[in-house]
Amino acid sequence: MTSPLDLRATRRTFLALCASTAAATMLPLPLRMRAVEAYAATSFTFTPHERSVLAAAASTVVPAATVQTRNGGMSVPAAGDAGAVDYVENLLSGAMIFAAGVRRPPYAVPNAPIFPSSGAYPLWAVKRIGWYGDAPRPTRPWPWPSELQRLQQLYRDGVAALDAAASPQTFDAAPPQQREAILRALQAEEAMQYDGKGEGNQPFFLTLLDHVAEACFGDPVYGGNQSWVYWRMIGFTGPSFVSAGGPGPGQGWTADDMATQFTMKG
Amino acid sequence: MALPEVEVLIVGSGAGGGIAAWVLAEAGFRVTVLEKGPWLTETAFSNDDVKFGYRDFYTQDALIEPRTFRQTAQQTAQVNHVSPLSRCVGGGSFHYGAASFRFIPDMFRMRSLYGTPPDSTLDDWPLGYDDLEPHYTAVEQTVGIAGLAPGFPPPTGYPGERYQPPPNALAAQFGLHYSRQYPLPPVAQRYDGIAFNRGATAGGYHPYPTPCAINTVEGWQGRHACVNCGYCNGWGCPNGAKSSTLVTALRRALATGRCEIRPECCAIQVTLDKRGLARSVLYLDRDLNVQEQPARLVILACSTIDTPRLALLSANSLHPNGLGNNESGMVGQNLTTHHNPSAVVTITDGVHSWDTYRGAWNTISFDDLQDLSGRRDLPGGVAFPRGGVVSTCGNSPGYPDGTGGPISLAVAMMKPPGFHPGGGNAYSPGGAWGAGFLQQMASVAGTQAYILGVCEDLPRAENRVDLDPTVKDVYGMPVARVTYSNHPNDVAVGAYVAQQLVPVGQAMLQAIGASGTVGITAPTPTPVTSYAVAPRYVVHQHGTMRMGSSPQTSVVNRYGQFWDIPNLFVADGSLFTTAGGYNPTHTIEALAHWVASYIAAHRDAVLGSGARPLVATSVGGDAAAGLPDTSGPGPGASASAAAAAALAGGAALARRRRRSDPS
Repeated sequence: MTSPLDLRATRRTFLALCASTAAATMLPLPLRMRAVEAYAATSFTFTPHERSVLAAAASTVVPAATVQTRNGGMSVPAAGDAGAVDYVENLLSGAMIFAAGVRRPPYAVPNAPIFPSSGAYPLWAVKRIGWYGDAPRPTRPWPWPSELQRLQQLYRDGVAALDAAASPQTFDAAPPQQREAILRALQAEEAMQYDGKGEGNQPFFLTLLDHVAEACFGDPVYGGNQSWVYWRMIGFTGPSFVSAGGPGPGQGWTADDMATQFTMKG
Repeated sequence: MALPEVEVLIVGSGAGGGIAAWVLAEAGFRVTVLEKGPWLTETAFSNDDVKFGYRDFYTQDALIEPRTFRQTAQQTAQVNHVSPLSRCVGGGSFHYGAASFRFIPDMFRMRSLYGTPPDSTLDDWPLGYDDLEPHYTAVEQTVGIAGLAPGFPPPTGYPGERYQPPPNALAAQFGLHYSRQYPLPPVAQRYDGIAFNRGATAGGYHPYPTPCAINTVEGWQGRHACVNCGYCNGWGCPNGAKSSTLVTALRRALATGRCEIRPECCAIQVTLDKRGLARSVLYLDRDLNVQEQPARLVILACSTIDTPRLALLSANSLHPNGLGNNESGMVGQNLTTHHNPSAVVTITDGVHSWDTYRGAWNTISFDDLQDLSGRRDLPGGVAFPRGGVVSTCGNSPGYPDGTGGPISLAVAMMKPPGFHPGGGNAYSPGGAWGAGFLQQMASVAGTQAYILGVCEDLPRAENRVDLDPTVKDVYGMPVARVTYSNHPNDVAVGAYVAQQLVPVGQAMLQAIGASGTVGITAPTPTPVTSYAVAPRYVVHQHGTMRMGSSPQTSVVNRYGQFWDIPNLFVADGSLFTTAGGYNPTHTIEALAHWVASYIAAHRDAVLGSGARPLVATSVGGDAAAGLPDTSGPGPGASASAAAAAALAGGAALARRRRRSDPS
């Protein structure tokens, strides 16, 4: 399924574009360098089995539920069914593009095109996850170890460990109770080993918890939280105003708006 | 080979460096600004928790440029996120919550008022409120600070008392006088701010609109007004309403045609000439080549952690323990960070919500807990009875408690205690993921308001920044090692102030007819996890290049000038002699304005051929004759050579790759 929210689809379209020599040679040189770089970065994908295992794990962490909200009852999907794995894959591919230059009032149009129109920041331009030693950069050598590759390996090994724990089945084939037991045991084991100190060496499941939280409660532009479903659940409007040229009609809040409690409309 | 000499070289472009660049460029100096971070513009800023809260979009990356942290000198420091300020053009003024208080006069003379409590280095500032007042005013009028000063008609556009509390009723009592009204009316109040106004007033407190460096009048200075988008403290402002130096002082500096900003240029060493004067700054440019930029005058404004680090990295034969460290030995000492007693006001009735993600970050405050002397219920043994300002605060990305936004609430619920940045998990000791998680999120999100105290911590010599003996950054340079633990006085005062916030929170709930709970936090003497110990969320940092009235008891003089290097100045938060009970940025800006104004008024003395060390260096003799050239290899120089060597390999590698790229 392709929706405007599906960055993976966007990425694949882009890959196809890059593969076309004609298109590539038409680009000016700096853009071509960037395209090459994006190609290197976007070459990471999970296998179908890895996707399935990670979706099962994400859905165990955040299972589907019927939730009582301040605006009434609501049926909410599990994380694995609302884009959590897409979020992680986008993250690990380095192709995730930050939601800059987006301009939309909250919920104005369901599935409104929110892909950045200008000023978008590709992930390589951002620290922490955006540096990967082996990929060329246009202007600056980047001779540092790849955090991105570390995370990719962490996930690959993590999937293998989950499958091993569910043996003789695979993790995604195990019943929900067994999945939760496996993840609780893994969490306990990691909590024993990892002292919480330092940066950049958090083990697999604790990392997955962070990423599932980001996927579900971050901006849908990154692939998770599809249709703003978890934001709608908590009554969070998301960005009310974003960039590119100053405030437009309906953006932000007035003093009168804020003088009363917020209630979700529609 | 060195670049052509420039007149004034400023290292850092934040609240200090940005203001200094503006003042000096307008005074006719040719100014060059080095900034280690990128030059981001408004199109890169968005209402986005992932980017700003979780991907280090603007902060120093602890994996590339780490810092280490420990609580006491006996411990081995661990790599951590330590007080990570913005790393971009605009510096700390880019991400900050824009609360822009003036210090009250008492805060400049704490030793005169309280002596020097044991295990502290409490001292008086070498200047007073009256010295800084014109500089506070100049900054307010120029960058645009929105507020309500007592004793004047309100600023044009003031929406009236239906929307705003009155001016600070305690200002006169504190001797806090203004020479002009703020140029802009206060920022709009959030829902929780309105409740705070009613609740605190009912409790006998005197709330007033927080002065904010935020434009509130559309078109003022050609800038957009704040639209209360709610993504303020911790984000770059997407429409330029926040008065960061990026859109105010630096713009004005650039408009003179005499200012150049060099982003992605990381200073690694200050070199001196044979006379002992600052000669140049070595820096890594954006391609990681080492450049030497000679200058007639150098201003260090790289923040409280990196300014002393640069001074220490610049050790040479004249200054074997780092620049400015010959007499006092105080470079890096007396680090203060504030302590933050706070209350989380949680609605539990399932009907109401605070929704603190609407509006500016800090809109309302009171000063009734600044001076605690004479309070009978203060715990015994408090020698320094000073609290700080209390405000109700909105959304901030990644904050562990209260108003951290949906992601951080989810992380705090999901992760077991000790493994999320807040330390403990209040929802389940095993991590509250799994069945019931989504219901818990739906019930808790939006229901928490946050009352924050910014309290004055006692300066201590042991709380300091120095060079880590083992950890290096990717450039091969020793990183800053931060040692910090609270004085017992801070812990006692913090517990007391936090307790005072409970009835304020209860009155807030009452004001909107909601029921709920008030939970408090205060500094503890022994935090339980390493995530919790490092000052990670409140990044106030001051004091490490202390200004004072003698070279024996301070690093720089009252004008931020090194005692023994007359053409080298400091203009950032590291000057603070004591912490003050307010968010620091406005005072950093006023100090930078003061320092730069001094330089502008004494051009020949500090810049001309007459520049001479003001005090004899420890080497003795005529400072201008017969001294060794100190540009030779010191620890910093060898580190930069190592970096150059290491990076040369990387650069060659990248060049090879680029040649073989398909294109």
